Amino acid sequence: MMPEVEEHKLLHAFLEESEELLEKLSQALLELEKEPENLQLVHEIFRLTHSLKSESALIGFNNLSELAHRLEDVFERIRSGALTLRQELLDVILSAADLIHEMVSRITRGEGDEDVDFRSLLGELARLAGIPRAEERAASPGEAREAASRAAPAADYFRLSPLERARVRDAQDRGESFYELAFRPEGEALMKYPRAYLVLNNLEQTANVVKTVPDLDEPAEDESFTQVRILFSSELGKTELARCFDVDQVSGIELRRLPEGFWQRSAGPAAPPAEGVPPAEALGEAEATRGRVERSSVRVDTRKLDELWQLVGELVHCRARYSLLAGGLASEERLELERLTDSLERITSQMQQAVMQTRMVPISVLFNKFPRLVRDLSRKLGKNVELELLGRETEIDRSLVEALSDPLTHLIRNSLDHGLETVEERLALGKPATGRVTISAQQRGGKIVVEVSDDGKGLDFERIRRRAQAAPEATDEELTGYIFLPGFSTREDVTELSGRGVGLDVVATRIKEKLKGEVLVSSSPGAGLLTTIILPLTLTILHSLIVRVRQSFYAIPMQDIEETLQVEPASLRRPLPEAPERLPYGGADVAAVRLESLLDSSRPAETASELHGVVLQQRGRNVCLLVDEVEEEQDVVVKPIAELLNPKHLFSGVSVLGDGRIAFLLDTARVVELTE
Amino acid sequence: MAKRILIADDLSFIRLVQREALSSGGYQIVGEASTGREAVEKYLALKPDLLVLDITMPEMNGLAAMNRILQADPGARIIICSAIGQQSLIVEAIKAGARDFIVKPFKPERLLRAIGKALEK
Repeated sequence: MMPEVEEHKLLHAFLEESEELLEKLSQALLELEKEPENLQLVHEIFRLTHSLKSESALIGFNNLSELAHRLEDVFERIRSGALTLRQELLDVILSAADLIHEMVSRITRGEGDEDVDFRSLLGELARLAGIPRAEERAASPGEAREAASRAAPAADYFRLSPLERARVRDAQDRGESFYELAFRPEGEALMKYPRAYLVLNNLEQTANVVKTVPDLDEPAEDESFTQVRILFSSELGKTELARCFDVDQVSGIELRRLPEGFWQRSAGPAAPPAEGVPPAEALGEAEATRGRVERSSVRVDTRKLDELWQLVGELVHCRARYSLLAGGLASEERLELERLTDSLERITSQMQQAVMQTRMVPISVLFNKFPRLVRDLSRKLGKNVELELLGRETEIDRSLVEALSDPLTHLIRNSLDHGLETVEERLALGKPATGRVTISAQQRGGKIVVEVSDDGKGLDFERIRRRAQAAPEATDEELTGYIFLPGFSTREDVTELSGRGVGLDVVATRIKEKLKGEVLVSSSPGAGLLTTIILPLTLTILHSLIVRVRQSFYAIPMQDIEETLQVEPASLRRPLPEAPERLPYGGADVAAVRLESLLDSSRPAETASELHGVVLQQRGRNVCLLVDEVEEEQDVVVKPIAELLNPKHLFSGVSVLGDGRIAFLLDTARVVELTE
Repeated sequence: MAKRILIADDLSFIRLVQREALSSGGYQIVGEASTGREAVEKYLALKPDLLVLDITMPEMNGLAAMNRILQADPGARIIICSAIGQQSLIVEAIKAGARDFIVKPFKPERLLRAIGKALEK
């Protein structure tokens, strides 16, 4: 009997693993729907279901295991050519994948996999796939599966990266033959890797290695190296080659010369795949175009990362105090201390970077869910929809992934349900039959901007006006504001999907309050709707300039500063009574604003004999911010600021400086906006 | 004629085990070194057929010693002897030109087999 802690650990590992497998599975299934002929995808799905089956069986989730097993059977048949993938079948397969999801979430909640009814679906699956029911089969598939899983790595093996394909071409040019070497390293588990590497190294003396599986140059941390395959080319014959890998503690050596002409066939994309072995070139391309973001990774509890982040923050704080301390010392001690703080500085900045990066994940983690959502919704609604995802590589904080999921899902539902027209309506309007939803992400000046847009009908301002009983002179912009009010909807009917307009207000509140972000909507009637979500970067250490106004300190991100200058109050001109003052700058002039009056417009601007100007730049526009004093540059750790302290939203955070003073971090975009 | 072997390890116990094993296999031990520096000096002076080299040694580690030796004698046959858990160092050593490696604690037969294979080439 396993100790309880161990079992818990095992369950935890299982859940993490299965979550990853499921995500890959969903993605692969959707791709398969678009390319039903893609054998590579079929192989991949087969492997994924196979892993799911084995893992869940291992830990005793028999229903989950059985369901995964049946899916595996289906893909086994598709793979062998015994079964053709039809839409009807694919629908059932997708439902089965959904059930697996359901089971896994139940297991996560501690409910187990027993209460999910999957029998009827199994029957359906078996019928469509032409698989005999459980009681009828007994003997046959086991063996086939065994053979299949032995063959599985081979498929993986022949997927070549562009670099590997280049190696193949070079070898072809040199007229070399291609070989496949398979072997099993023996000895201590930990030493299998160096053992395998020794074989590779010996081989490289006389042959040109194209690829190794598993990757021996950058091995995955959890790789066990029980079986290693090397694809290589050489001008030597088998016997001469055999001497190269005559190494102790290596067994199961198989050297196979790949058939003549095998690689030539791979050059032509139109050539049919060789039996069981897909052409290398074609597969390499297919993989490249799919452009997946997959990397080997370790999962870390976000709380641990938060803790680490806090600690790095403390360290930055300490470092700043050291620098201050050094300033007050006699010269020889000072030199010594400065040298030390210099290296401390280098190390802390590297640490900041490293920790920050561990917190970041590509937004594709979130985006990957949407193709399935759009597919299902568009089928339900009978609309043709194409989804475009842009900026998938944009890195966002881990915590945002979860927080953004619901709001984005909501916006997509809205677009499909309310925004996009039916095919008939679209054709009547002269629009393309297929509607388009685009989701994009990018980092812009220290913020993350996520946009959801569609080319549907946009907002119906007349309807909003009637519904809101707004004044006839209300502008489109004002009317747009109404859609953020709780419970506001112009739809008379309630649809299954988006309900009665409970949505945008929830989305907006959530983004404002939870994420301290903003939601903007702009619409051109008839042409579509664009919703923009702007989020502050949650965790930041910003290199900032500290300035003073009266007794308070403010931090301005260095990246937003063009230059600092001294300003004589006499050089300021006010062209119009209500307009901001202007300052001659770079041959023209620039709007100048006193930070003091931004903070509190009721305060009369003090006429100091000299002011300091900080020229801010935001999206190509300049504003000169006038302050009492420009202090020094510092790295500041930004923490969220309480709403109460930030009535004008001038600050994007607050920070404790090295000497314990508090500085407010200015939101430069907001400063520029308020000035103009 | 018996092949001439040099052994380098900072632990005299390990050297003892190696000596026993090698003599029983019919090899001649031409010298012993207990630091990396000593290993380089003795290798260059004695020109053995093969060197069994520990990775962790005082005064220049095994990897550095190996690099020096291979610089002077690119054909040097070197077998690395290491503790478990030094996989990446071993891979480094293989990249640099080590012919094989054995892991402590090792059985005498294993040492002899590795040496036998390395001397064949």
